[in-house]
Amino acid sequence: MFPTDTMAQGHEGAEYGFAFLDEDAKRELRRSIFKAVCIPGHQVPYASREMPIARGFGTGGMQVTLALLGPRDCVKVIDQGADDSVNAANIRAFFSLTCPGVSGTTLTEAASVIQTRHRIPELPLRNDQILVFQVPYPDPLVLVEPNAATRRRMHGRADYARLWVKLYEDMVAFDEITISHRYPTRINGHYIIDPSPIPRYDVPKLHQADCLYLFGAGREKRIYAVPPHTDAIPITFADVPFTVEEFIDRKTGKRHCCRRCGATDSFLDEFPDEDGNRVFQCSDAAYCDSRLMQQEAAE
Amino acid sequence: MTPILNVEHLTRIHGKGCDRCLTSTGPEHDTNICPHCGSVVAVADASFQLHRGEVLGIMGESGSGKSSLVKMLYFDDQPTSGRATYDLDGQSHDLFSLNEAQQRRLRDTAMGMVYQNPSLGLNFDISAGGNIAERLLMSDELRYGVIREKARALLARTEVPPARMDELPRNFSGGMQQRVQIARALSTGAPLLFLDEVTTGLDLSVQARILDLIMELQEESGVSMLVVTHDLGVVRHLTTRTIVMKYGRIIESGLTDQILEDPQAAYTQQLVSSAL
Amino acid sequence: MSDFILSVKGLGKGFYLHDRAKHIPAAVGISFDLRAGELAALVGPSGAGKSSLLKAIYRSYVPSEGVVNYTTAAGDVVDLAHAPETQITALRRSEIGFVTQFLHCLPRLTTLDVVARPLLQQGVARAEAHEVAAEMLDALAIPKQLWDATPATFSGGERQRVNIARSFAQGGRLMLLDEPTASLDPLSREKVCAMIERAKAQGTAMVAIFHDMEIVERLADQKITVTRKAFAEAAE
Repeated sequence: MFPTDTMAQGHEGAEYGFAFLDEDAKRELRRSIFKAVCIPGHQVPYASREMPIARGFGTGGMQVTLALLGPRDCVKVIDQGADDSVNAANIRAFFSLTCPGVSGTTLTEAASVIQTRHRIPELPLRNDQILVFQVPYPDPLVLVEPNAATRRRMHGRADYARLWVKLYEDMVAFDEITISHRYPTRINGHYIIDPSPIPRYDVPKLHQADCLYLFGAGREKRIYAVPPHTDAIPITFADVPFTVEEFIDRKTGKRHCCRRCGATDSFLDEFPDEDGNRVFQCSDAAYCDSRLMQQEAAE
Repeated sequence: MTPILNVEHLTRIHGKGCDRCLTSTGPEHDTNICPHCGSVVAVADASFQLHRGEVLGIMGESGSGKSSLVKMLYFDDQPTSGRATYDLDGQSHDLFSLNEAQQRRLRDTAMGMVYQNPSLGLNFDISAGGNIAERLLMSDELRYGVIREKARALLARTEVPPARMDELPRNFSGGMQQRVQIARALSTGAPLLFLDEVTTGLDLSVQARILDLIMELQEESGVSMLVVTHDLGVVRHLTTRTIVMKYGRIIESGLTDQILEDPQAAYTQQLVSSAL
Repeated sequence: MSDFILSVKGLGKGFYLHDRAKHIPAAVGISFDLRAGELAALVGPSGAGKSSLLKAIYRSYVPSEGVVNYTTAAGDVVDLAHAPETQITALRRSEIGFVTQFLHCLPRLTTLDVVARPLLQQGVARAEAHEVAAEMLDALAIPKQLWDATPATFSGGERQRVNIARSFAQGGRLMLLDEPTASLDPLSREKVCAMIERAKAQGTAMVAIFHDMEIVERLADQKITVTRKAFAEAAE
């Protein structure tokens, strides 16, 4: 059937309500979020809605954020730590457009809800802040078990030996655990989650945090959570400690620093500069900017 | 002395089953398919005991129910009715009344299984050592150094060259795959081992070496074993007592030399004489 | 309480072959008592069922009738004809031995290990077990250079002597001997006889079948005549 004129034009009362999603969708999302908070690390299924961007571009995170936002919220969106990437900027613009009253910010400390892809901000988050992750692959077991029903049973039984076998095989082949991101992390002593593609550097921030972490996977239709003050332990062997990126300069033996702000306590992006030299810079743009501003103010 | 395993009236019917399944099947009816409802009576009313340190053979042709019996005891399958208790460190576990987590725990830590087909007992996508590591990890050993050492020692004990420890078992010969399976089954020091046709399909010389290995390991560790086989040679070689099954029923049991030299049931006489 | 190690009453063994629906009457009931250090020889025509009765005592055959009361080292009287299999297994491991002419041996074990094996299974230390095994092999004149080889490659006579060495290494309170001297050369036969005499002197009770009546006369304290039921009935 072809759309009639009235359908194409829309009719009385068909405008989008606050936060784009209809109220039934938000209610369903909120229920799933509650459930996820109640069962830390458990992947709660939900009816992922069609969003005006393609799946794989953060639709899961967007839906969770939209279900959370109220008119007094202040929202920040980052992509790999940056507020001004195309994806982050557009999602932030979308929130401003569809959520009248909600303000956008790039300041970590000013935001009540932060939607993120691939990073946790450097600045520790407070108990009145929520971090929403965009998640491409919610299930860590997908690497070792192709059957989804079996995976669900394995989660239920905390049957994770095969994840450790992966680590074992890694140790055998490379003498170290080579997982650089999406590091399997055990939540509250039971479920193991895929914490989305955050670097190892960010994993310890999940543990006993003050803020609420929510994970939304749009394509895979799953929501899970790490509530405040909850154990989040990256899996490892008793005699092989979990380590994070150290950014040590092999030549000097010292830690690389950010070429902009000089920070030696942040996660650094490495890239070649105009002359082809390897340089390092804070991945968290807001953190870097605020340090620069502080330095300017001090001068 | 309490037996390590006490099996009572174990029954497994595939299909919807009816009142007449048990009375209409069995050796005297020459079938295990119920003529009234078409259900397959895989195991019917099987009762036996396995004593500590004993090697008990379960002998029968394919379809006799011997593998089904062991599958239930290893929780690969659930019985239609019946009971089995496993006495572990003086504590009795009623196998089929345990919840799934308890069953899995028992299976991962206190039972071992060696399947005829190595692809059932091994993960071909991870190394031989990784396969053993998996069992150790399932029983909560989380020290990499210890896991590595144990895997190395177990593989050495089962005569898998240490140099091949980090290779995929997919590339191993059938005999070597069975050795890795045996090492894996033994890895947690379980006092109860199930062997399901472990030498079937292997070369004769390889068979003999595997059987010798199993016997040596049994004598070293005193592990109790349930050995399922259709091969009289395996029964003679490994077991002290044997159960004979046909159409899901235990039709005879006795000392292995008695079963082989003076079988009582018609079927056993036929089985023994046809093999000799 | 009896001072008999073995008290056999009316032991008989027959067979029923299902495929031919045929009863094969074997030995008629025999009865005898045996004290420590005594040897009872089963005698009778070939095919009368001597071996069947010996196997029935060991429970390799299921006895058809009768009682086989055995007094264990612990002083309990056990009817071997009806005792549970696990009890039979335990007694076989520690107290009751059986010697056949035929050796089923493991292809990979050395001769020394084959002979020491029953002792190892009883929990005897390896060095001690090997010492006893060496003594036995020596007594039966198995050349020392063969001790490290597997008996699978030996001649029939050598294998038989290895088998006897193994049985006597294990020892026990009751030994059942099925033609241990058959087909041995005279020198080896003499060694085996000496070994039997030595075991008797150490208190082992024995039930034996010998092909050679001279040996029966020399070793037996009593002779039990075995006749097949059909023959016996015909004679009456």
